[in-house]
Amino acid sequence: MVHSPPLAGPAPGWSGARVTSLSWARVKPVLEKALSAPAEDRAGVVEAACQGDADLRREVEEYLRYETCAQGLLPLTEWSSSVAAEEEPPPSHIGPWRILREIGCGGMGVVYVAERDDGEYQQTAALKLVRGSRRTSGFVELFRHERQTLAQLNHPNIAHLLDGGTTAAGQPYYAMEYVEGEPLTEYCRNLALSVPSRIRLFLHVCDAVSHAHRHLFIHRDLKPGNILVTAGGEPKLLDFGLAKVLDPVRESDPTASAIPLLTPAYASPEQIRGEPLTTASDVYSLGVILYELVAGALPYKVQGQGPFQTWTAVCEEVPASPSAAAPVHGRYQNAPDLDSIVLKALRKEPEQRYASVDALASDLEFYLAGMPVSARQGSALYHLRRFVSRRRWAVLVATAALAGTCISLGAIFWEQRQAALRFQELRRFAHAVVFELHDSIEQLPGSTAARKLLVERSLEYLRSLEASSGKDLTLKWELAEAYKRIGDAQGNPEAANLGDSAGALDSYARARGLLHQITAADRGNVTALKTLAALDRAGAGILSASGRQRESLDLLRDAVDALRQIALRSPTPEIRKALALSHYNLALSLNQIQDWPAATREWQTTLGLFEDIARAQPGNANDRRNVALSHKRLAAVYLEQRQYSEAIAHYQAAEQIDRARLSGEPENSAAKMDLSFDLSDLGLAMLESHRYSEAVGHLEGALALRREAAAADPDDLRAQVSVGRSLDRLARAYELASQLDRAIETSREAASTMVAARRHDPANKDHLKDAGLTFLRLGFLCRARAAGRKGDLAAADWRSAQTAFERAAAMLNGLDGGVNLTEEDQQRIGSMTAALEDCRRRLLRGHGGGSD
Amino acid sequence: MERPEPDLSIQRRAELDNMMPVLYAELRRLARSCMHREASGHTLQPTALVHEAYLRLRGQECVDWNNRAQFLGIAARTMRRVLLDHWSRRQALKRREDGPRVALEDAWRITGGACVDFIDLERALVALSALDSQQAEVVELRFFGGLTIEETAEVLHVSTATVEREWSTARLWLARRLDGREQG
Repeated sequence: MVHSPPLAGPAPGWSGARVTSLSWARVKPVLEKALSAPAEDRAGVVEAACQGDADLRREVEEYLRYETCAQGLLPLTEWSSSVAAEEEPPPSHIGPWRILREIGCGGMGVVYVAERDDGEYQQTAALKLVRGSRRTSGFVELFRHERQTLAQLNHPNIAHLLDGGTTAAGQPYYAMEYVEGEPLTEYCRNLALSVPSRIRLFLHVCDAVSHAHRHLFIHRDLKPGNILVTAGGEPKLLDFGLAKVLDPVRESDPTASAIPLLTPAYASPEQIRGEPLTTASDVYSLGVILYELVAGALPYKVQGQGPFQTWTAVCEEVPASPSAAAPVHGRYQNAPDLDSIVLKALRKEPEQRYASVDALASDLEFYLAGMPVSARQGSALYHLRRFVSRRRWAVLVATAALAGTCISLGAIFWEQRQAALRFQELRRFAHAVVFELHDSIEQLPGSTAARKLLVERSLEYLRSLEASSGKDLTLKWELAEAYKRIGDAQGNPEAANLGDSAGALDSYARARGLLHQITAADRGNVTALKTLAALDRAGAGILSASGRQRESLDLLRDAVDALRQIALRSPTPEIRKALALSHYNLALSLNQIQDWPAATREWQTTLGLFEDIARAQPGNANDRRNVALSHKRLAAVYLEQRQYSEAIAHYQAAEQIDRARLSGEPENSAAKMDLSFDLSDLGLAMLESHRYSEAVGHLEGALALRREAAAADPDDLRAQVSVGRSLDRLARAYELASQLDRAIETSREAASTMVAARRHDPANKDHLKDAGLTFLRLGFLCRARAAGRKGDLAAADWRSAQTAFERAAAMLNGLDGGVNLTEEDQQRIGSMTAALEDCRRRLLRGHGGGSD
Repeated sequence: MERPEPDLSIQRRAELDNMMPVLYAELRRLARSCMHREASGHTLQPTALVHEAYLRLRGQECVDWNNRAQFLGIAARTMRRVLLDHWSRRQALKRREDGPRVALEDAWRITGGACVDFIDLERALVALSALDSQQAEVVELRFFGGLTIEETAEVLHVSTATVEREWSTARLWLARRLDGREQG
């Protein structure tokens, strides 16, 4: 009998839990025979081995059904075989590169000198063939992606990455700028450089690493072998960013370290523990290198010991001071200072090290200049703290670098509070964190959690910093700006935010307090005033969005008062503009609560202020636009209160300004649209005050401008829709002006324009509503004309009306909420069904002449 | 607290230490690849698993580290024990919390995509060792230690052919047994 091999497991209906009477000892030898036999002989082998025992044979066959399934039970890893992998002979070519000679070989792979072989151009490169990397598939894609970012690393001390890919055998390789030089430590030893010279060389390395950190790259494998010094004395960092690319576990844990790839002596404790890495890890590795440069030995006794001892030492041993380890002839000045710098970089806890490479570098610069270094100030506290706790921060892997930075900031702050130098440095750093890092992650999708973490940590130290800010106005401004950004991240409704309105308001209040201190001391501080105005707008926005209209208004009034005080004392154009803007915002809020008398007063004030500003600077188009805008806002408020002549006067003033703007810049499409809005609003105001023929003139003007705009950009759907709306409005004006034929003609065009717009964006409910309403108007217009006609003409109008009503009904009945309808629209829709019925009745009654 | 130092000759200790970074990394990947990724925060993290196995290995005194394969065998056994202890602790915790007795977090993802509860595998191995202890050892070394056929043969002082035979039939036995658990 031949087995039908199961595809992915046992056949359905099999009951595997059945206890059998047959012992495994009897089944196993038969299975062994069956498995070692060729597939075609298997049935025979089993049959022979069972010697007619049907039960045994059934049992064996049952087991054999699991063969495919058992293939999945492979050993979980094949790791030990990879270790024993044989070395391959050097290839003659790799990708477009011709291999010249081997220059190095390590745990990571082999390094060759290679030459570009495609005749395109002459280039020599160091080509690394990576061994032991698990990554084969996907390497090229990942490499290409990384390379784009790595290309940002344009620094004289970082070797350029040239190329990368996989060999025919699937082995990853990459090529980088070939640097001829000696490893950093050897170079120093061979030239017997003094300690200050070594430090100066090391500072170049710091600069390069810092550059990479600013581009959010962590090196992960800093060691003297990766830092070559050229004959010209220029250090070059190799392999930047590549540890990450080559890390076999990167997919599941992007910042996890790759143990086989790193050099234990230079690896940080967190790297050895396999924890997420931050820039602090590079600070540590730099610390080891610095130790080696200064003391001439590694911080831990690792010579002659296996990596496991090193592992323990790195994680647990506190290294001896470099000055104690240094040979007598190598003693250097101010040893305690330099020792404390080195040891600070080497602390076990990442948050206890220098917060950044820049911080390490600046302390080294202080040391070289003979100035007090920051590292000495915190060390007693540090040793005490080491015993207290080993707090672990739960940090999102993706934000580890960022968070590490912030955590370090907090730690450093508390230690260094009194140190003036340190304070400056912290400020610089805080500035970088709040301004650069925040802005750089803000645009990333899904960065909200990272921003929240950033915000929380930032707040911790900002509050402390604020207490000791003293009279330093620049610092106060930076703090205020930081609080504002934090508030924005917490809850500014105009941007992506964390939804923490209370937190945002608190941050804004702190920012405002600081800004008031600044303006009290420095009345003309324009930047502070601008920030203040922005704060008030954002704060008022939050309050308004949470239904706290009164408080929102109070906030805006406060802003107005504060600015008015300042403007009285120093009426610069900037301050006057800030004041006008604050009135503008206040007036907008009054509009929202429909307090028309108060809103009217605010808009009048706003208008007056913008007029003053425009008068002072007649050439500024933007100032004139603000005046026009204020006129329109004021006009709209008059219109609400049915004060038509005032409304029309202000609309006309706006029209005049915008017309002048447009004649100055005929191609300015924004000015064109502004003017079309002026004319359209003016037309409406005229309609409401029963000045129909004037209304028609203005609405025709508005329509002409919109047609121009739509023709200029046929793909602009919004422009098409605005033409449709303008036509609909004009149809209404013709109707009121008793030009029914033109009204119907215009309304037909409005309807077809809207239908065309709808076809471009069928899901848009507003377009559906607009189209429905234009058909509704067309229906009413046709019905009105039919009523005044007789015979066939009347019948044709009735039919047109019926068709229009039917289309309107189909569209408007398809709206299930979600669109705003004015009261007037609702009334018209309400009478639609009756109107449609009327049309049908008339047509049924024999062409429905309008006689009865 | 002092950590007991293993009683190792200098040479053997060096041998052990030379393997450590590799072992450490591989243990990590092993743990990472087989532990269920969707696990909630309570599970033993791969890193923690490796560290614990590591520390237990270091703490083992009077072990005859006579060759690399032997060492790997011990590593495999240690790993299994750590997992079992961890599972038991979790079960004790769960009983107190009156939660489900076996949760998905304990599931292991086995190469090939099948998902097996760790404890089912453990029970199957216990059952197999009652039937055939050598075969169970082969599974333990191959499965938890990732040893090759050759290394397994070296640890068990048997021929590679034997290991191959034991391994191939054991896989059938395990596949059927684990499948029976799912259906029964």
